[in-house]
Amino acid sequence: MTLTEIDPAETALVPAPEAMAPAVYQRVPKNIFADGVSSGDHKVIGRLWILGSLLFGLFAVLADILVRFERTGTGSRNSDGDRVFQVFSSLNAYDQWFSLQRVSLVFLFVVPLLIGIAMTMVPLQLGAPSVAFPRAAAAALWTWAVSGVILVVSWAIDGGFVEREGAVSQATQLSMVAFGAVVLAILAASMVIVTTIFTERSKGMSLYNVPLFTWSMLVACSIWLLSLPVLVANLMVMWVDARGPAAQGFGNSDLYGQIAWVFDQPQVFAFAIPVLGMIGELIPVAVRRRLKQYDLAMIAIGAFGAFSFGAYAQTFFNPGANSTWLYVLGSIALLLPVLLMLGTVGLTVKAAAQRPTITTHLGLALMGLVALLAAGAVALVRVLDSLLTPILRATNWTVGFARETIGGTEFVRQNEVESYSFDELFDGSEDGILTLSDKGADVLGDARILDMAGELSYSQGANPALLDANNNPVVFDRSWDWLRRLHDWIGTTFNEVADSSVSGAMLQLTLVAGLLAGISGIFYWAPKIWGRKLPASLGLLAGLSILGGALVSALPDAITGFMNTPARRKGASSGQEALNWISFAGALGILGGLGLVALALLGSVFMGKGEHDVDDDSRNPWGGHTLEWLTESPPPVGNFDGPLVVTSEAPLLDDDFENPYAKEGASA
Amino acid sequence: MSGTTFSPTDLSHQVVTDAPAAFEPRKRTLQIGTAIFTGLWTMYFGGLFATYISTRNSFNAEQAELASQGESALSWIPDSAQVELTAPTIMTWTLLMSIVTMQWAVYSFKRSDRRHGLIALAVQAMFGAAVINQVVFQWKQLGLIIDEVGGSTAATLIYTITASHVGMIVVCLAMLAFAAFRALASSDTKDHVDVAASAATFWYAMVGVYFIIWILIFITK
Repeated sequence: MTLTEIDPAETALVPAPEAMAPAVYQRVPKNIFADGVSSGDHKVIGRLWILGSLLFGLFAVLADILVRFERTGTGSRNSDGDRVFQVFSSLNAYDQWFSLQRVSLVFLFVVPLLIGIAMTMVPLQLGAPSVAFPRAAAAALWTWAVSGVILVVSWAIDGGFVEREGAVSQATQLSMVAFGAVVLAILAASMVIVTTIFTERSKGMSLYNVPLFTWSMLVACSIWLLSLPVLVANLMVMWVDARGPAAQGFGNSDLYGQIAWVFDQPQVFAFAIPVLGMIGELIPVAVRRRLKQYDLAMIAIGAFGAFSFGAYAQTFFNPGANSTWLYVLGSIALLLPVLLMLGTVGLTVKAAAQRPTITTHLGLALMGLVALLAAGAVALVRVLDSLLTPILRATNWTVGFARETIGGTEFVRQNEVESYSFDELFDGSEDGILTLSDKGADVLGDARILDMAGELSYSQGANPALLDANNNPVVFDRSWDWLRRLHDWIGTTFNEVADSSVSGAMLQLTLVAGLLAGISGIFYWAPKIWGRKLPASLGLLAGLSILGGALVSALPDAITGFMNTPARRKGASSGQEALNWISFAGALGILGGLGLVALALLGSVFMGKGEHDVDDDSRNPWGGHTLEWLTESPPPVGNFDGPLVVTSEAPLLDDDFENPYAKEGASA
Repeated sequence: MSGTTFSPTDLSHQVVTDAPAAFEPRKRTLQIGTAIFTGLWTMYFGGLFATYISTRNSFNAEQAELASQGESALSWIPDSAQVELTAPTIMTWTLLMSIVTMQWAVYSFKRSDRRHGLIALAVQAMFGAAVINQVVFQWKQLGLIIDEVGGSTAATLIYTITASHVGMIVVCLAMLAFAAFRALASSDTKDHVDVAASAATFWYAMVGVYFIIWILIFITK
């Protein structure tokens, strides 16, 4: 049925969807252009988000490939000693593309893709006729699209987030404004989605039994709404500073550094929250039964979202932000919800009477989960050093404290003399009271040093000893030395990892996880989004290519990161050329995978080839359990013929569910 | 399913008997949307305030270290700037008073009292315009320029924060205008009280934000 048709038999019973919908939906499109530009229908808007993000995505991945190709060079220099670049004309141009690559991957590609799917599917999953604010949804789409183009153009005219000396160029200011507008558009779209979930649910559908994809988008959009305004604040400070007669350190210093927290843990995981939603959505359909421990799955997704809030971890303003308890524990705890989700999935599969049907969309979602777990493992390794420090303090606090406050750098700074190691200052060969060595007695005679420590003092009486805040002798327990040595080793080995190319590996894996979740959604809901199924084999091939490419390109980044290669490195260090070539090849794999997705969409949606829904049950080809599978494929304007009443998270499995479409032969 | 072609101008299909109820009106949509919108602005200002506090603390710590070494230290807000408390305090009181008038508007609309509701909105808009006027006056009075020698970034941050707050007031005024037009166009203002209530929510947040600005920038300097 086309959008303009209506069943005459139904008109006697049910008002046409168009009649129930606000006027904004009633426009009958004359052509695709008019439809796209002027429509307030959430499905049209969602499709345009998806198509736009894929177009920008091809560009973003190409930028990624260029940056990786540049790194394969060994940094050869010309006769003047200047670095010779392979792709870019200067270091400035490299930095511009580096920041462009990261900004566009997140804000022009993965996040808009997820928003597009949510914009299309969330109202359908809720049984709603549309989104909450259709005009705001359309405004968000077009603001994003226009600002995205301006953002890319601003880079082309020498803009971008790079360090500038002196006056800030107008192109750089344009980049700031355009990026701000892109983020605002994403925030507006998130606001629409969250409001829709709160206000447009069918009767009987509480927040506790919304479908898991919808729930994951509620969590994701909420985290974006809480964290991305802080990014807008960063951009606004930069822009105001750059507009002044002479920028004072915000508009002209390390511009990328000021927004780098968005591309680093934990914030970057906020862009992969829907991976868990897709898994929770697809596994029950694959085994044709309800998800076990549905509440736990919701808690897992919510907890994953909460731990991924990262606006506080801005190392530009607080260099110690990535060694706080909140940061370290949050980074570790991120993995727990994923494991919890896997537990519910495992229980469901175990309880099922049949083996799960492995479909393309399920395969894609599982690949996304693999990428997410890999990113989580990298994130865990990055915080090992920060994790051990507080443990060491908790178990052998006094030793760690003494080492850090009296020995080493603190001592040097206060007295401007040579530094001494802990072992030089203290005679700690035996367990018991910590005493000063001869040298320590000489050096620590200055009471000011001990005052500096604040909580320790040194008694110089008949029994000289280091005393704690309660004047009790500090006990030096050598039994914990193994932990101290482990801490020292990890600190030495991983010291630079936090700001190394490991962060790039983690970013790539996380974004690919989000991307695979998005592609999984495109294939799963293709009948509802496009009106026909997409070729399964192409989808599977695309997923394998993207996941394989991500792992191949991220692994060398992680390895070079442990070799202390900085995150924004320009070229390969000696001995790393092969690794950078492998990384480059991996990026090509991602591009190939995206090309396959584009091919699938072009072939089956725009050129009419592919698995058309007439061969299957047109409404519910996968045997889905949620409301979107009740209506036609694609759904008409207004989505449903009337309000629905549900009593559980999988209404199509409920015996008491009154299916208004049953007479039409819907499989539900 | 096949059928006759639907025309948007043909409304005959709507003439039905025994039709089931259509979708329920979105009673809380605007208020929930506004609450989320308000939260978004709150986080934006949270980011600005965190930047301000962090930068000011770092600057003051650096200056204190210089002072301990006997070198001359600079103040966070450059000495050349003129920070008067009069205007910010009057603005604070103005905004505090506006809380009452905002509630007056909501109360009136809820009781279908269009006349008093509109008067309250007009007074409210006047308060907003007055605050914007005072902010502009204060910018001129401050004399802060974003090229101060000494490395203080106070000017950048103060202008960003106060200008953002002006932006928030402008959004408030737009909401008031929206509420006023709805009241003018409706047969019973009670039906549109959610618009005024939403504007009130955002207005109160705006007042709260200014209260923090008043303390953070002008009282504690």
